[in-house]
Amino acid sequence: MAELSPLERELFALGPEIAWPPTPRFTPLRRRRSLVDRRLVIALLAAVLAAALAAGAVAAGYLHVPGVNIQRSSRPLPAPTKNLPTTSLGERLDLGGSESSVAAAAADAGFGVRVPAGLGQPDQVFFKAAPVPVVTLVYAPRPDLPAGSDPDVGALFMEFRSADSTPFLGKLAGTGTRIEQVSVGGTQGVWLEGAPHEVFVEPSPSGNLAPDRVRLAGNTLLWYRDGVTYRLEANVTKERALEIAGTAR
Amino acid sequence: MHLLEYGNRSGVRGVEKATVEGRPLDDGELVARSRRGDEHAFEELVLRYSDLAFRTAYLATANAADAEDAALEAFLKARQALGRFHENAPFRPWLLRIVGNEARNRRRAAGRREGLELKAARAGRPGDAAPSPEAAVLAAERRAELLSALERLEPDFRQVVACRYLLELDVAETAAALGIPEGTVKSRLSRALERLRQQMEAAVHG
Repeated sequence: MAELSPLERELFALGPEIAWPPTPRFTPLRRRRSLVDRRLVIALLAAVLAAALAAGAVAAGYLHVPGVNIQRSSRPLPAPTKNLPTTSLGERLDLGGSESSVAAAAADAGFGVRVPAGLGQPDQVFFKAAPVPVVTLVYAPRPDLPAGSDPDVGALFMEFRSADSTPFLGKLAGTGTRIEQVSVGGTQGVWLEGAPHEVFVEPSPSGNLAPDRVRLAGNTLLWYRDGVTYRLEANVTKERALEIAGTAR
Repeated sequence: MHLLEYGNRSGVRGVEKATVEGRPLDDGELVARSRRGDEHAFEELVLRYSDLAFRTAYLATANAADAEDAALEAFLKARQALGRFHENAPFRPWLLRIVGNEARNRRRAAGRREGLELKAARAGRPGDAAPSPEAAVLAAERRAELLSALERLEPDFRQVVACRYLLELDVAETAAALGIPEGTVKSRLSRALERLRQQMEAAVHG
């Protein structure tokens, strides 16, 4: 066998370093009824939503809020693992850098940051510049906001500027996650509840959602208003989430 | 940027061992048992080649959901076609040929022209000596440049390089996975490597 060139050696060494998408489990090996179900569900959802949403708001195969694609998985997702608070909150949830105040985050983000009065002033504020500016308000657990998968978080309120053509967040919802179209103060929204769903962050230049970072999220309300997508993740009911969303002005 | 470190369920070379009767069985033995109707034996093969089949499909589809469908369908078809499989032939290239076909069918059906995006997951492998911060940064930069050069290759070249080096397929397996003759694999590899070399040199000197 011919000796490997340095470039070939580098390429072989690169192989184990590649962040491949997680390999699904194929056993027990059988054709998944849900593969058919998934297409049917998507077709039905698309038909229902197409009537309700503005043109372009439903991408093929996806539930869609501007800035976010939601894809239904054909299988239940793995149970969430508890995040151990060994690293800073911003680091382990990939929220960017800590900000001194909402006003400082708004100045960095370049858009008006809303604070939901129903939650009050956040305990921490984070700002991440890329791939799109995102401001995250973090609320510590308290009696009306029990901790979810992260012991230090009662609620996350994320706001990011979004263009319809450049989804920033991708969500993969397993079979145990209910997805519901909702109205948030007259604007389109989506509620995800039940089994945790995965969150994919960052589009690739080609527009694909790259599974750059995956974390499991709890009950989540997504909506869009005036060029900004809002995402409230909290261990609360849909009614409570809608109530909180209504106070974000 | 945080990059996800995926679980290392099994190496792509299929190092996960079947443990039927407490000893690892080679592919041939598992195929023979499967042909005699042993469901567990075929599931061992599926477990052994899940990563490889899924990643091979992913290289063609550039889409994880399509790759999952393609790999699943390939395993199902392989099981069904096992009766026609030559018992002494190697299982891997045979499976990879089916996977490749399924993946290309899905890509065509979806009408996609998405570029494949690969990312490095981590700064070093477990067990590597901890590099100095400077060395780590340089190594990470070099990896990023190489990945970026790989992404800029034409799809045919990129696929052949990814199969041969990233998935460590041999030439025959690469040919099977891509549905092209071995001679074409070799010529594409040679040209692809030359382009990569030029790009990497331009990156160093530019």
